[in-house]
Amino acid sequence: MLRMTGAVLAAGLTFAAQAFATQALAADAPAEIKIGTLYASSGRFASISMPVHSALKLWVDQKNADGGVYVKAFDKKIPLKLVAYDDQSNTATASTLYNQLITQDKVDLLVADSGSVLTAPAVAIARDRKMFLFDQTGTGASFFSKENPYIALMADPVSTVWPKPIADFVSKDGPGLGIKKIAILYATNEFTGTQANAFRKFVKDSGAPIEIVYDQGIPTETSNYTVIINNINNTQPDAVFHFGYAPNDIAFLRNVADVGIKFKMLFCIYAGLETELLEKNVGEKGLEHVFTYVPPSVLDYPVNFGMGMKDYRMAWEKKYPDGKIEFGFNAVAGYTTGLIIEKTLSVASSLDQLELRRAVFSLSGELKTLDGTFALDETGGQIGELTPLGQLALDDHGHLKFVTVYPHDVATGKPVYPRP
Amino acid sequence: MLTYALVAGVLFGLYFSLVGIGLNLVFGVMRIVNLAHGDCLMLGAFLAVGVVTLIGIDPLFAIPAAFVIFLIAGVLLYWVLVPRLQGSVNPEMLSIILFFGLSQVIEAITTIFLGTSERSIQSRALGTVFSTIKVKLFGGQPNGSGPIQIFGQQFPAPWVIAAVTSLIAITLVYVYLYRTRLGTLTRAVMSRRDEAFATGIDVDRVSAAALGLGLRRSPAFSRPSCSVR
Repeated sequence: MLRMTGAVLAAGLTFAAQAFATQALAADAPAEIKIGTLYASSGRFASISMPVHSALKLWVDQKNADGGVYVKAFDKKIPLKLVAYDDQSNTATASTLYNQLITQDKVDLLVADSGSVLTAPAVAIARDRKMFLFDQTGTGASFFSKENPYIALMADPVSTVWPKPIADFVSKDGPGLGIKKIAILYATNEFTGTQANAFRKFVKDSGAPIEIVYDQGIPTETSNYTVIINNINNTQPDAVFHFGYAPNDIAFLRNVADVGIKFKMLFCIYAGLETELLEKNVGEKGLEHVFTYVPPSVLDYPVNFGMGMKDYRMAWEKKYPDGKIEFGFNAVAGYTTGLIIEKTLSVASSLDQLELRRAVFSLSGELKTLDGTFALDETGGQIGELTPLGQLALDDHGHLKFVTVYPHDVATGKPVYPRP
Repeated sequence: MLTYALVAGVLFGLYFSLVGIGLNLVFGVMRIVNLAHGDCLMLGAFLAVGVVTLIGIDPLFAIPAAFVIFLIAGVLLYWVLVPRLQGSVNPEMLSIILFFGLSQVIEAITTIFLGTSERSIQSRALGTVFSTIKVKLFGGQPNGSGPIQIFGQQFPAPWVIAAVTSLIAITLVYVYLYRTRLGTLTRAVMSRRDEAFATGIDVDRVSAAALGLGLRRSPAFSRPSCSVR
């Protein structure tokens, strides 16, 4: 009798304790989860920042329409609030605003602006403030190290591995096509500088009989390539690799067409990442036969979380019907960041910044989104979501289409070389 | 390579000379640092993009339109802002702040209505008026604006057209300043503003004309090669 009374008492106490804990947890739950981020509505990086920011806003609005995201730490759905400021493509402004987000707005999650240049100020600030940085598209090599646990790259491969497909194509298939001399032109910033360095290293380490006849870094602000193109042409390269941001690619490709020089092979990053934007500025003829990265929108990856490419494209066109913001790689990147945040919050046991890091890293290799498989190395650099090498061609209706040319196991066609 | 760089430098430099003349005219007459000058350039470029996109004609036709629009805008801007500015304690310093603010307003309005992405005019659209005139007068086939040969080297046609129009504009500025009455008055105001006022020159009218001319000069005559962002 006494034993039964004790058991009942113990059960009752346990139940009461659990109920009390749940109440306390619910009482501690914030009214909203504040996500702090920056965007550039003007300046050099506006065309790559606004699509990312608009995509993140699309995800936030979708989730809030559904009552919020499930936060495991409080075992309930909590609405999101996006606190976003305009850095006008200025790194000094961005530094001030990142600090403001952390110290004044006291955001729960910190998300970087798009691109390595505008992410760079956030990396140091986040590390110093011990705030985990959701790095959307900043791929600079110096961001990721074992000493900095407060960063992970969300939506594109780290620049030290990203150019591997093009380097492998040049080293392995290039000699057979007649590519012996190559020219490398790159904008000197964290993103394209790292890409160029990695590409150069991969090519040299391959041991292939490829000579680099031109290798020049230029300021990111360069908008006039005419003299540079003439200098490159004088070295008679078999292939030219241009690593620059979208404005650089636009100016470069326009100047190549204007000067009337025909390089046998041209590679540009944003011909693939922001094809719509470049098509508007360079034209179909200017982009025909240009080699570039094949974006996820063309590959249509299978997903186990979030919308697939087709549904996402429809949601984007419904939310932004005026076409002022182009749909491309960056539009996918912003949404991918949202998905990873959502999954992280559903896994993390608290909003402690290192717990968020643990939760993000636990998704590595498991999460498959419309951007590909999310996979991180130990420093937080993205080693998944790789983009194959492709070439732009005109279809029968004169519209641009992608032909994946490398790696061979995903190739959909043969490269056209030399450029007609 | 040296010849190419030199010729390219001259062609590109002519365009920026024209931009500088407009800015210099405004500062010389009114001692105003027009930090919105680049934004005016950008608006002129959008005007050219509009002419090509909406009407489908050579962007050179944007020049007369920009001429008129920016002249009117400059005169209006003068009467609204400058007299108050000139009456302040430190007009030069305050002009920096005022026109910086104007620059921000122009950028914000442009972003709202036109978006944030780059816009370009296809190079082959430029100069089609010349090839059309050539075909009508001399017959033959119309051709697009391919590169132009100078000293055996190929230069983009938009550069050459921009350089030529800039040269024409610079010449017109010279004629205005040294061969017209208003130009003489402008030089008088630039030299000694107070003395010009004392001799009965309508300084306000001359300044308004200078602001209008300074704003319209660069956007109007620099339309040929434009890629705006």
